[in-house]
Amino acid sequence: MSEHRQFDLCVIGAGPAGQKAAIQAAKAGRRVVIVDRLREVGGACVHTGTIPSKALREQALRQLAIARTRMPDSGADNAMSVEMHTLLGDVDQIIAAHDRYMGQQLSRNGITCLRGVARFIDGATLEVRRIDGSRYRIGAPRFVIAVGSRPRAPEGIEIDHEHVLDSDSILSLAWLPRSLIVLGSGVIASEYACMFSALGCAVTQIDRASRPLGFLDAEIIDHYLEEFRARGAVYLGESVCTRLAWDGVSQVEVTLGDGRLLYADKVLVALGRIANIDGLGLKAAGVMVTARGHVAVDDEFRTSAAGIYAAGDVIGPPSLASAAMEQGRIAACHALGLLAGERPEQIPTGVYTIPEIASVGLSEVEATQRYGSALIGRARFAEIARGQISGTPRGLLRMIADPGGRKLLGVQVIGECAAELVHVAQISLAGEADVDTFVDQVFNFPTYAEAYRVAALDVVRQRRKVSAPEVETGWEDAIAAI
Amino acid sequence: MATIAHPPRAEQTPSTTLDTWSAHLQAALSGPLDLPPLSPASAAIAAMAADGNANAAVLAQLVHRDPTVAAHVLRVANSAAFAPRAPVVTMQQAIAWLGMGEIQSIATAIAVRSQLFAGAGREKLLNMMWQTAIATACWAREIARARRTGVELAHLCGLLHRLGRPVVLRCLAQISTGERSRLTAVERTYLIEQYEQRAGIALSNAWKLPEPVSTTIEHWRDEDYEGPWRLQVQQVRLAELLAARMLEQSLDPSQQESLQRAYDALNLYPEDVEALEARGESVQKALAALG
Repeated sequence: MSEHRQFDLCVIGAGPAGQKAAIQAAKAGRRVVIVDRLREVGGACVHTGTIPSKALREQALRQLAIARTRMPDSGADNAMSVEMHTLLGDVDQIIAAHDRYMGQQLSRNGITCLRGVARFIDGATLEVRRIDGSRYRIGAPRFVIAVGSRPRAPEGIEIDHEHVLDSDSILSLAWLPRSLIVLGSGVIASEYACMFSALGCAVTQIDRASRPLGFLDAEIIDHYLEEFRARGAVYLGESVCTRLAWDGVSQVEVTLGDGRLLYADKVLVALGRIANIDGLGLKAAGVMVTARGHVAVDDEFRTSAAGIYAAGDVIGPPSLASAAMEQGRIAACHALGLLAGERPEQIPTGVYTIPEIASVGLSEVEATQRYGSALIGRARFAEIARGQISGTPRGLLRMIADPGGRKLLGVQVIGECAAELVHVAQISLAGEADVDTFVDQVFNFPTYAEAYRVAALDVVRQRRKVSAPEVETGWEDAIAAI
Repeated sequence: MATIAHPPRAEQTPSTTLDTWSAHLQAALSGPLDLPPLSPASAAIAAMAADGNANAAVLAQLVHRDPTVAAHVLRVANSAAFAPRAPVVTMQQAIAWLGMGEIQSIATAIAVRSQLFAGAGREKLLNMMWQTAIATACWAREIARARRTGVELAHLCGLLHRLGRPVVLRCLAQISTGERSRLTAVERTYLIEQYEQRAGIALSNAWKLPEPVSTTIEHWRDEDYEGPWRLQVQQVRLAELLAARMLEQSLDPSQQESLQRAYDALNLYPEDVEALEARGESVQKALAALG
């Protein structure tokens, strides 16, 4: 008879969602186990995704900062001369430190961490296969599936991780290529396209979509593309790659649907991610999967099987580490009958392109669909003292208000510190602050946050045009100034 | 014999002859170092390099797979003459940087030199060393591919991780002991294994080989290594074991245990191992093509 261990909650996967689910349950005094096939803690977020890619992005930003201050004749050709490890800096140490910290946190909370490949035997039993092939079973009344995702390998495209790479292997390139073709138009594709172009690499981004980052409002995408093209990068929309072939010497040949041929040192395929559910035995547990291959869940992250929850990338978009953590926590709370607290309505989205983009609440398109129209207040960083001082005047903050210009519906930011700035709007939306709140407040000077006041004043200026004139004491000078 | 078993310790082979050779070897390794003759595959490279109509893709592939040519190409690409703004790390980068014409010149020059310095009586040992290097490089590629990490660097680290062995062999050939003493095959093997790491590091430093390569040369035997380039080091350790098993048809029990630990360190489960081992045929083909 095989070894059997019993727990109150079993979490499968040690990424952001799994960790938070386990810690939440352990803090409630439950016996918790995490099973993961890797010895390291953290999942793709730590080892192949978020952390290493942000380390590279920091280097790209430094390169741009240096370029801004460089003398005109000092040369700016970086590609072909940079080892990737110098760009990734101490990322190995950062990952190791994070791994240690997370491991200690799990241990401190009395969570049992087991390494092995998990497979459901039924809705209450998991079989774990160790790396040596031996097996044992875990019984639990509640499970959280948080096995994450991996890059999708499209049919017909061979990813050899040498000339044609995916978002996992791109970061272990030995050297910075002179040219890179990026297939895809989503967040990951756009982030890498920006990073490599900022590092001096000639980037061509190709996708079926006419424009990248299609979930954002057109004005933000226009701004993004303007900066992307200013660095010499190219976006080829409405184009499909039909063939990839290594020329045997130094180039990959990319054939497009219209017969055009493009060449590059490397090709990055970033055409989506798929959930890691192979071999998990979901059918045996009664867990349904969506047509897109994600685990189907309801608003409480319950799957179709009683007692089995799922969180993180395995349930599909938004596929953000921040969202995954919250999903894991809520799933554990519901699984164990704990109060989950008030659930945040607004989770901000951060896209780490260059410039970075962040949004929270409704977009202009969504606001128009819901309210018939929307007022958009704009603040350009060029109008903000901090933008001029920092040499980054090319940002934009858009405040989306209801047609009456009072109710704050959402905010989108593109530019320096966008992912930080958006949290001001997140808290304001949570507190149901109106547009006027931003006009009434005094912000530190000089800061990017001043953009909120400028954008709010822009909304006020517009609402005065569309509604009967009101007395808005004290704002006349400020409105005149914008 | 390709092996990663620890060489016999000095006190186990008390020999005045050995001590003398050892002292000479230490002195030789303290001075300027040079690479040894070429692998058997170099003849093909030389012939191809001399042909103005050579297939550039095939030549590039051969250059990618020959340790001596690879090291020379890296040295030239990194030399002041070509003045890269930062180190050239891989063959693909070097080929793109130097151009195929320059690669052909380098291959020809090395081939000519190798004919002058070809080591009579050492061909078999050198051939074994090249076979190990190529097999390790090919396995390192497959391991990297299986783990969805960069293949190029894995290949280069595998190719050059025991570069010190032929360097020591060359030093031994050049040393004039003045004592008419001759080394037995066992003593020679012992000295090579004893000094290969030091020679490899010295050459790597002198030639400013890429950091991942020098780190792998230094640490590939260390199962507990946790520093930078840990993944490359672990991949090469596993690749070396798979190469040894392929070339020798078996592993001794301690090597077998090392193999299991190497799989474990890289999170390779039985199904991953099975998939990896299924690539053995393509590694064999690559070896046969270059042998």
